[in-house]
Amino acid sequence: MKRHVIIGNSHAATTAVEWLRKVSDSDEVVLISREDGSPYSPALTTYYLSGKMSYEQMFYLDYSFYKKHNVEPLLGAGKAVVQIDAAGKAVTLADGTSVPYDDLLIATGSKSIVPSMDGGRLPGVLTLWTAEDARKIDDAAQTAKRVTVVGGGLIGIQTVNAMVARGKQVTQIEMLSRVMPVAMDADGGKIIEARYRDVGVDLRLEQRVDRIEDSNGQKILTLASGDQVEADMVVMAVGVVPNIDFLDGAGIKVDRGIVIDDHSKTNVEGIYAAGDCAASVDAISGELSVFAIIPAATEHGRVAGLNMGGLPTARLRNLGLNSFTPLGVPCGSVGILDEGNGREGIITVNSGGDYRKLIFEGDRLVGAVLIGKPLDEGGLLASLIEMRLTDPKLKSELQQGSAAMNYIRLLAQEKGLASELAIPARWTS
Amino acid sequence: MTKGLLINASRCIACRACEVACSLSHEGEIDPSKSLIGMQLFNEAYFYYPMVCAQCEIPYCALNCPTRALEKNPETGQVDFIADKCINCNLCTVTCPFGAVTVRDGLAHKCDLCDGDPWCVKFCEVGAISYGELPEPADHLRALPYLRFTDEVVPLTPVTGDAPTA
Repeated sequence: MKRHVIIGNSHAATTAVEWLRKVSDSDEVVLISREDGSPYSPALTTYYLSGKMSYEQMFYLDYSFYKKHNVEPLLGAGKAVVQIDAAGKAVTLADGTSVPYDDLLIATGSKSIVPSMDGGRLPGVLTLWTAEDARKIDDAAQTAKRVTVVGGGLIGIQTVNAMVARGKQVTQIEMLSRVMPVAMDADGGKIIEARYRDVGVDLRLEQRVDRIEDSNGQKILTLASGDQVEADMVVMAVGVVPNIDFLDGAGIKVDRGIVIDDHSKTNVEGIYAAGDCAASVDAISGELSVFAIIPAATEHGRVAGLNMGGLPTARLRNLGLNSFTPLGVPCGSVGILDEGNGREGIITVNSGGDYRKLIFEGDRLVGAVLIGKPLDEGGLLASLIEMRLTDPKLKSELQQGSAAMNYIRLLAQEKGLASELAIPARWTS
Repeated sequence: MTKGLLINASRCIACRACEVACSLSHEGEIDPSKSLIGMQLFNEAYFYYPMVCAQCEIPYCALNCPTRALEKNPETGQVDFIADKCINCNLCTVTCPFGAVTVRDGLAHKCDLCDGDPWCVKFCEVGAISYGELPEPADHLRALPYLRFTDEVVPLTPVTGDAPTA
């Protein structure tokens, strides 16, 4: 009987537990988290803050999860892992306990970046990632009227959603020339920015916050341009980084995140990693990437769980898959969005708030940006991207028709599936 | 064994009766845009395929649902949708390999098999859709019910029956 130790208590960790238990009933599983409570999703904090769900509803599984899967939970600040002894196969907890393992999964996720600027740690200047962060912001928002959100990425956007829903007067400051610089393109960003104007969000692009000062509880943000913004509360949403500062001395290879292979294994025998804290090869670009997204966390976790449970398994997908809804506009992106380097973006829909841009590398589809109705195609386009098809006709066909029809036809033709799909050969020739 | 919709694409004539039936069953109106089964056409190849939830063995929609509004039912093997839990985050839409989960009016929508009596099956005059036990994948943990870029190919949705004779 093996003893599996899992550090972390969110999507990557719980998915690993669930899939490990599909192949191994008897092994011992210990789950360690520095946060007390049942598993919750950091992706839900802004839904809680907007009033769309209760605090408790962020916890997508309750304590019965541990019992159901026969997991021993070690939860709370005293249980934070402070060191990994890879040679001795044990982890040391903050309270001094040593927990031995046969194999170990590190699924500790991300943590917020706290910028080093003057005033970045003043009371009333908050970050948002954990459930505790969300509760603090909820408290501060009870009295605050004017809220400034620093950062135009996913957390920034979702925080603006929540604050607008609560009737706050919102200012958002982004360093780059558009919102959602990673998961959206410039034209898509304009659609979001137009929606911001409609709702009355004061969006300041290409502005950097130089310092924050406190004047009788009121925050004064001074921008690099010299402009000043006053706020009752500031949310710093400038990004997250892997939460891996306890790895010293373990010999685990890190390149921004913990480097894992397609079996979620690290370079150290018996140690796996999954989710936001891991760096894995993007299946589309071939580049080592840290995906701080749920789809990567669950796939890394699923594969880690199966391998730990004794079933050698490689992951099936690893690409960017994003969805977000800034002020009610359904947006998403799949695959690679960067143009240049021989990649070409083609806008095939751009009217009435609907937007669909496809990114090609030669004849091969590598990415898509979708807003409004075209978002329904996101899943199919992701499949098409993953299939790496290079039909010379594909580009023009995709520009005209839906993704699905091409997907099906190519599926039938290129993979010789005609017989399996019971399609007479003459129909696919 | 999981029961689900079995598609025989060779019988499909793209009449869209399934879409009519689906919207009638779920919305009480005939509006194919609200159908949970979607006809995909490729006229050039005379190829039609009613795309619908495949009750995947690896249900990416459910794996990625942060509120567990989508969940693989351990009893039936089917992927259930619990509307009360849906927060309209669209992750199911971008992660379903078939595009079989769409979001409309702030809620995800997917095939619920009409509680075991699928209307699309009843309305399909040519026998392209049937309701029955999905074939057991060779290795239920490895086999994907959708096409991968490896040679380990498993059909999109299970297919039964013979091709029609011309």
